[in-house]
Amino acid sequence: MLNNEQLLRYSSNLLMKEIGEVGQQRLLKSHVLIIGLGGLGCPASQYLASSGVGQITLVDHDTISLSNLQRQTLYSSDDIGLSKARQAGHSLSQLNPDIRITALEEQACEDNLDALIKQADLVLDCTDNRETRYLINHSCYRLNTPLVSAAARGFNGQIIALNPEHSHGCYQCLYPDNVNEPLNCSNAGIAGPVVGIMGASQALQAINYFTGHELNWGYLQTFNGLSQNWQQLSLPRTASCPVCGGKNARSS
Amino acid sequence: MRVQVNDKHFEITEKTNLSQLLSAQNIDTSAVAVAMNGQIIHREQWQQTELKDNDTITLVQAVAGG
Ligand SMILES: [Zn+2]
Repeated sequence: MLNNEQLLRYSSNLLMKEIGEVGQQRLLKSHVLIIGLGGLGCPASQYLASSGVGQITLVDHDTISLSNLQRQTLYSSDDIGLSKARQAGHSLSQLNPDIRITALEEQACEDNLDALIKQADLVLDCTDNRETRYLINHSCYRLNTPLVSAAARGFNGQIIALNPEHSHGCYQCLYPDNVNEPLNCSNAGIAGPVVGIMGASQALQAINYFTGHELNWGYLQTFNGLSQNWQQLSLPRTASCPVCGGKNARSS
Repeated sequence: MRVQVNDKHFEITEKTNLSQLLSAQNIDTSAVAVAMNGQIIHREQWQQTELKDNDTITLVQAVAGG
């Protein structure tokens, strides 16, 4: 049963038939792991905290710098030099004291990912580099945990929801070469609202998943911030994929 | 016959495969996902994927920032 404060706090969710009281109870029982608290992780975690996702684990080893403030909406000019995870945890607890937030000042890597992902119902990849993206993908497939991965650069955004129980391809199938991008946020720039839209879209998919709505698993969705166009491309599994193909395949 | 690559149209000869089209256009495919008519085609299938008239090819540059 929701208490009086929850009935008010989540009233806009409760009014919708798509969420309602049953959906809100589900949100409150869910645990999301958010890896990376930059331009994607800030809006994603804000919407999930405000919507009442009961447990949120935040992971980031980085500190806040002045150039982050153009798009990382959880931080202010007074926070320069402070830990992103700790600051984000602090802001989100103030936003919603009704939920449990765990802030970890560590880098997601091979040694800690499995343990982190094991506790979560859903993972949001909000990181800023390819190496960590491959590791998260692999770990989610190993542990059979669904993953919503998003990225942005310039005016372009991408998002894909992956479910190891389904037969579509994985992040490794999408970008099989472990080459470093010639361009990234620090040398190519990034439009704040574009990365914000992608982070908000991750939060929306998480809410839809937790409240029992089917996601568009295995479709790469790309957003062009200049034309405002979304495009959708299906991602089939590569038979030879070392993560989801062949004997690693959980489903066919 | 005509195919579309992102927003540009190209005239190509019959029996051209995806791999030939990409190299003829000098496209660096090291960090790119390639889709044909809305479905991503894995690199190992480019050579055996023959293009048909009016096929739409979409190139998506890998993006990893956040
Ligand atoms: Zn795969």
